[in-house]
Amino acid sequence: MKKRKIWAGLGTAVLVAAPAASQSALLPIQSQPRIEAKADQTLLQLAQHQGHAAPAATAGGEGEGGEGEGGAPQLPPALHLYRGIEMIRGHLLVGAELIEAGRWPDALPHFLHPEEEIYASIRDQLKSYNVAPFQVALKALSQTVKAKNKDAYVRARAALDERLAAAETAVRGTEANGPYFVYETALEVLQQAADEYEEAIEKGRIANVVEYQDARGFVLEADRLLSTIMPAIAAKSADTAKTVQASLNDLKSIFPSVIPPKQPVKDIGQFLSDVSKIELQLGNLR
Amino acid sequence: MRRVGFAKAGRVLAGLALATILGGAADRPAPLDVEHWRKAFARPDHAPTPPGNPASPDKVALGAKLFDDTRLSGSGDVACATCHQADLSFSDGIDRHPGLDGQPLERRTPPLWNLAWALSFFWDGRAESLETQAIEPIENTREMAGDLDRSLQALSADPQMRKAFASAFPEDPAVSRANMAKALAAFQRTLVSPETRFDRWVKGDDAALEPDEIAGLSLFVGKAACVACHKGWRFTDDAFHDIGLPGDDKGRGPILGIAAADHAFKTPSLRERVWSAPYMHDGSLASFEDVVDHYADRVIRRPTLSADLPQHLDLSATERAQLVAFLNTLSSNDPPRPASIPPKAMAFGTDAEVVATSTVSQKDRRFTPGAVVLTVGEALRILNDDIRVHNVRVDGPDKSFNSDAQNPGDTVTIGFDRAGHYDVICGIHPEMRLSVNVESAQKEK
Repeated sequence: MKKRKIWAGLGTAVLVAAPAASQSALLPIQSQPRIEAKADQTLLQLAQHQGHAAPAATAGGEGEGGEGEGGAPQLPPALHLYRGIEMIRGHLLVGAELIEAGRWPDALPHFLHPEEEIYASIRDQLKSYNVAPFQVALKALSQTVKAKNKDAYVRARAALDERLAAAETAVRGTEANGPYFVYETALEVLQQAADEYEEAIEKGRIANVVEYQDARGFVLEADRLLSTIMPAIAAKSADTAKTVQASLNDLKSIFPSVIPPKQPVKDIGQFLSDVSKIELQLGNLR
Repeated sequence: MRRVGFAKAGRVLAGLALATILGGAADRPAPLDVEHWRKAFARPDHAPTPPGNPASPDKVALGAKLFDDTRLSGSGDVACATCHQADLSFSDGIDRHPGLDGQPLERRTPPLWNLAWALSFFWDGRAESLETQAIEPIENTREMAGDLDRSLQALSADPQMRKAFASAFPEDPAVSRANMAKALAAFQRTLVSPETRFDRWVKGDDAALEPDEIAGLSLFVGKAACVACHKGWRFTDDAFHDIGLPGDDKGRGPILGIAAADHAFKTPSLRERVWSAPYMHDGSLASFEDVVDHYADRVIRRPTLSADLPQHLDLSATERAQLVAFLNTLSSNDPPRPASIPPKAMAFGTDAEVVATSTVSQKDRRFTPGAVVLTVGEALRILNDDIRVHNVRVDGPDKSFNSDAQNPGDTVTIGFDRAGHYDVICGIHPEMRLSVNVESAQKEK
């Protein structure tokens, strides 16, 4: 049984025994480790992505690909893989927004991070699920962004999207309870979004733009992911669907645009509170 | 057959049957001849430059400037680098670049790696030198639509350009068409693909490749027979093959005036192709996986199909993945930058021992002997004892000859009525070179 760390509010972390229902006992544990703010960091730190320094569950070194920070348990392989794919999609999503805005240099980190920070942690699992590797497609895509070549970008993006869709199909096909699995994945992506958002904010302002954009991409991707199962959620419980949608809307409102506001719309505690509301509905999908 | 023969044959058959029962040993691929393939794929020490256009740093620098110069185009906003982007392996990342008329060009923008070693240029090989090739896209009305006279005037009016031309061509400092072509060609010859993991393996580092990649190499040089065309360190034979892609583009055929070469295109190098998708002359295949699937499942069978393609290629999913894994090792892990390799003036041709004979074989895509001496009036007979269609050509100031399609079993006869040196090539397999020295009868006496 997997234990999940959730946030019920500012400074309070709880563990939920999954697959526990929303009425599961909430046990207080230690506060989530925080990344220390650096006093000399300025607002424009596009090239100083932190890498998130979380150990990967599998081979692959540092980056967003891993989990288990602070001694938390590693994810089951399918969940780890699906989470990785959706985080890649989150990066691509926000990268695409920046390209549409003509901000190619700003978009580039979001096309480099999937290959540099996530892919290595899922490479072996792709093999075990008999999914063709797509590292080459990631590299080729980032190169089109570096070249600021829109036509090439569109083609390379389409080629990668095909690979990602094939990978998703392969992983989902092994899960008996598809909606529950997708929901779990979305929660993991939201948890990573929370980490990014926390890193983005320093001294009450959004100081790290790339982390803000990462968080935005992950939230929007989680929203997209949950929208694919919202009919299934509603079929089980209309109230659950309503609660989840309301919390997602709250989360999305934290990111009014791809270019961040100077002042955060909400603090990390409020962000985590919304995530916890979604998480507490997980048991209703069993 | 004598009784002993039957007994021997029986033992052999029994042995084969046993081998089959014991796990299909007869189907197992032959072990990889590591030393042979390491030699076959070894990189050269020097980049060849033609004697008529030796490389110099100033000439290369001028070529690089011209490569990026939009003044070469009619509209003033297109450069060679517009399509041949350095960040995209000197290609453009799309299937076919839009022409100035807004419609896609006929063919994919080829990457420019390792052209110093190429024997012909463009997908259909219509240019015989980089100097000739360099000018054509500039003047092509759908590509750059340049007016070279006007461009040269503009460059001549630029003091920095005049200085750059003077430095590059101290003996003939003119801002001229010929010098522009030479500089562009000299620059392109410096675009040498860097070493990759595969090259480390070639140099003896067994650990440079993973087991799947080695398995892919074994397939590449074995069962899949990719190496029949993708040979040498550049992984190209510089020849023209119909590989069974759909489409109406006739490729090499119209260039040679030979229907047997229809649908044939120059074998592309496989170096740094990770960075230059999509693939094929029409950019119709998006990934290595698609390319392997094409050869295994989708080849269109037609009379012009290359004899070098395997007749039937049955590849499992694992084998396909292994081939793809191997292909990846021919590209850099990070975006490639040109390698520094010293130039060396070299004349293409054959250094084969000269033989006094009037009959030449073409077996295994090779003229044998590679150099012959004849007397004036003597006829040269070239026999196609190969399994492929060939095309014998002589393109020289004193003699021009084109054999048309020379099918296996055909003999081409060429008469030489003037003394001199003649280079004979196959228009479909330009790496086939035959040197012919024709001497006067008096001299022979």
